[in-house]
Amino acid sequence: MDRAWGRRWLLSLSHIGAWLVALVWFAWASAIDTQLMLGGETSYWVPSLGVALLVAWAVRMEVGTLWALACLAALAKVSFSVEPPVAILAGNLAVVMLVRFGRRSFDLSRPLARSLVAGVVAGGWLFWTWLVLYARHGEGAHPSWEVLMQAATSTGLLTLFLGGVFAKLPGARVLLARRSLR
Amino acid sequence: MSALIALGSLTALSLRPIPLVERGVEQLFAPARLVAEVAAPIRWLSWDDAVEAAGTVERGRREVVSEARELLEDERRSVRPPEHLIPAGLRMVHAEVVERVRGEEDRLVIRWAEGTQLEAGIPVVVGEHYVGRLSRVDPDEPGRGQVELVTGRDFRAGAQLYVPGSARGELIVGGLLRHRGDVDGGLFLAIHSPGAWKQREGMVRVFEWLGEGRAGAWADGFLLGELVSEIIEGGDELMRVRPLRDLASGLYRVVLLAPPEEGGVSEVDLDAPTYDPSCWLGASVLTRCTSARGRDGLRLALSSGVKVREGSAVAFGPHLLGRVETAGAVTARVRTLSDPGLVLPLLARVEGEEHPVAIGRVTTEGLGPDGALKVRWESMVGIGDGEGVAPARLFTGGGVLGVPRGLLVGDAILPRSVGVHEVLIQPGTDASNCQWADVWIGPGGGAGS
Repeated sequence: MDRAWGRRWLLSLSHIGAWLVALVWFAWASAIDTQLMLGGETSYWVPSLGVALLVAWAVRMEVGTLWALACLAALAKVSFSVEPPVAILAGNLAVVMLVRFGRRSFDLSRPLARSLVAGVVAGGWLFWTWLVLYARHGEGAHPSWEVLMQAATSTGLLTLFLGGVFAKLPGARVLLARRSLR
Repeated sequence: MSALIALGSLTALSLRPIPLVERGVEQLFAPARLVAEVAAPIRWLSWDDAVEAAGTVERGRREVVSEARELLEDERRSVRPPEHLIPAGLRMVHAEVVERVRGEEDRLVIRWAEGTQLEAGIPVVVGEHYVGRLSRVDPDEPGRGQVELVTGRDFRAGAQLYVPGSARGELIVGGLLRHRGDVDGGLFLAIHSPGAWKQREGMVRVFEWLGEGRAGAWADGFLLGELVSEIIEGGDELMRVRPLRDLASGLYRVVLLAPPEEGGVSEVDLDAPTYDPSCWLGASVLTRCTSARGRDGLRLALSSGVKVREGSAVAFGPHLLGRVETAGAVTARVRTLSDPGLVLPLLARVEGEEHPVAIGRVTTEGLGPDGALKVRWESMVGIGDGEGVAPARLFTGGGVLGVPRGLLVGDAILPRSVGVHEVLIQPGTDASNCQWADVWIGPGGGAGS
């Protein structure tokens, strides 16, 4: 009895630790994204590390915990974003819903599939932030297809090549241990 | 299903925010401050640049502050009405525009010296220009009130057309008159019951020939604008008055013509507390929030228990950095000047012009080449003779709650003509790596400008 309770306690402790480590990874990804975006017009070719990390984990994580992942990624992104928290949370929820829906029919953890999802999410995120800015302040230039494609391509490629590495980051193994794909 | 409802609600709130909910969510994300601290080492990479930028700002501070004070003093002199227009014995009470309430474009919220008692109905002028009447004195807050502008729909003022060497035509002016052929932002005052005079141009001045009463007549002789006559579709003649001041967004400081007080002074001044250290709160920059599509901002760490209002100015020394978008218990989200859509009324020191020019609102459109700020400027009345361009140094104007007048924005080349212009502003400082900033909390810590 005591041994079983102790094992459960250790398990939940390791899960809490893993979530905290994940928060740190997301915070660092967002911070690096912010630094890279300071490049002005050329920043559209800069891949979004935060998006790549979110997608790389979301396609492998247990479906039931995807909501927690969305909230965690939002918490990290809020600190580094001028967009309102509510818009970031909405965006992240949409991403995990997309992944959840896609996983019903496809194995999104495969390199090509996850890079495609990351590309769609990166382009969609650009469009979403413009929409929020426009709705709230009536300003901001509509993102062109070219800009959306640049963001999608660079983030897709990053996820293609580094998605596997992201899944092996310290702390990720506990969270990504698959018990169910659906 | 519940996930879809949650997503739908969040999407709706993102696009059409409800302030109370927005603040609640901001509080919910308060732990984000700790998350930002976790990534501090990334910020430390630019520590040397931050120290250098702070040093540069500090070294130039005295010069900029003295320039800004001189500008505000010049502005004060320029809004002072000419002596010959002021009826004998009247007091001139200086006031600054602290806010223009959204949806009430024909009203100004103003502030004057707290100890001065005023009554509604007195004229409000800027230099020799008539702009409206004091419509309300705030009973709860001494030294605060509202001005109804001459552009108000129901505003009427008796007026006279001044024609050199001929009889003067009497008319009634008030409210706006727009014609579908007008360029965007064009602003004209309507003429009601014009006389039978044949004159088609000239200056229109206040003349309360309808017997408006004592206070109304105090503004007799002040300028409403110039008469404009044009033939429109159908061959009809349209006559209206073009104000020579930007009434839509270029009023920062006004003068109220008040009755004399026994043993009182003839002029009541008002100091701008812009550079009073007690009106500012120091804050460290937690993170720079640059994101896709050129959005740019900062997240500031706030001391708990200090109330910062939304919209308050954030400065780096005497330089304006941006405005607070939302303030939570421990952090504040700031939109910087390079964030698209930020609206600011500016006061310009234009080369070749004797007095500062209230150029009205500019709207930021993001970063331009070489770190310049791209802004859209709707020039309503032009500068000087309206031809060519002129170098100018831009400072914050008035009329925005929480943004004090006289903070440096940058240098620009301004077109002198009327119309919508794209302007590049060279910021006075490179604040991209600043790690400290000041937030405006206003006199008494109220952020009320």
